[in-house]
Amino acid sequence: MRRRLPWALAALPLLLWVTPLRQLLESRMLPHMLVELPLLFIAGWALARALGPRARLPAAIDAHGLLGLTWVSAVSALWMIPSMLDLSLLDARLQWAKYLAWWLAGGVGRGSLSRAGPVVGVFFLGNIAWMLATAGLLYQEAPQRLCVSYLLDEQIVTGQGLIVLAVLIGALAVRRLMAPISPAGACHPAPTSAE
Amino acid sequence: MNRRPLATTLLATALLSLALVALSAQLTDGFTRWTFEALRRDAADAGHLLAPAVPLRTAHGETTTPWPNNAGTVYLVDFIYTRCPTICQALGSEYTRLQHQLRERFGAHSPVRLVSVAFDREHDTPIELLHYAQRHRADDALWLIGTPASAAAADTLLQALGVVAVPDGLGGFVHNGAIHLIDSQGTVRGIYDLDQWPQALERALQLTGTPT
Repeated sequence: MRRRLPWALAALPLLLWVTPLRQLLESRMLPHMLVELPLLFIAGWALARALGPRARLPAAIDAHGLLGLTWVSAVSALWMIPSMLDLSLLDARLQWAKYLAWWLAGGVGRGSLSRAGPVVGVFFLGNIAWMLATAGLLYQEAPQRLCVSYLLDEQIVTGQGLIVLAVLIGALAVRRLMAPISPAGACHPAPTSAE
Repeated sequence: MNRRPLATTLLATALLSLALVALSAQLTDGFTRWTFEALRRDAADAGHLLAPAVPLRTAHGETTTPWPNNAGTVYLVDFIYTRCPTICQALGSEYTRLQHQLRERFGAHSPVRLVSVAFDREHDTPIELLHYAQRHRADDALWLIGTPASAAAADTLLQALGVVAVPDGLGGFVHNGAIHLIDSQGTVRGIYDLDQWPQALERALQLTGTPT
């Protein structure tokens, strides 16, 4: 059962082919940003876990997990832009690009975070938390709708949800910083033999 | 310590960052437009937004396709639903004022016409359109009020213009209602907020070659 769970989670994005389910997730802002996108990330993460070390980016271009974590940060930032949410609902190409980008972010995120030392890991997690909090405050405080596809009430609640998520990621970063440094977690590139 | 992986990683990360910055710049019009509505209005100003020819069914049961035409008529188009208690009624009031200005200036033969597209096809029946027209004293010669002749036509028009109507949970809709200036060939030449109707009219008159 425990072996099957990562595969089941990894296959979650396939459910997005089911139009009513996709519409259910995307017709409101909160499930779109705080359920669908995290689930895509988790699905990618689960796939990387199921595949093991072979799912990692090549060590030669991902020392300290820098490349993978840059991808995760960039994808997170890009999909906080209000126009990107609307465009992903109105343009099928961007819709599927969004699914792929978040799924990949989860996939490379797992391998790269395990390569990152405490400082690099906290730097990226802290950045993502800060960015989510900023976007959350913006969504919460904006007096008018930022997305044509969503209501103002939903925008405010989503903003609050993003701030909660930012706090959780921030807490994760602090926990990571407080954890005792193990040789495997130190700032050394992972040995190529592990790839 | 082997520095080669770090060097290649930094290079790969820099390239990825550059590519993503370029993509973001492209998607936000050089980091100046963060909302879809702002991008839509920019596209309209640049003449990149095209309104497809869509037949509209009026309160009298007639079907008419305002654009394209060779008469050089310019249209000020808004999107309404007749049950709307808020923005559509405000739009209606502004259109009543616009109609008054057009009638005073051109009588019944205005080169600028008003069009209200009712998008809630289920409820915007001919009788409701008639009530809306009566409520706002619409003159058929100056103001066309109609609903797209088919659901497909409605979808085509709204999608092409980026007009999105979201159910408000109370039986109505919230939508990016604004005044769309559309020329005789169906090109959107500008999108104006309600309170900018004098500017919309002025620009419309410029397009028809009428001194303002």
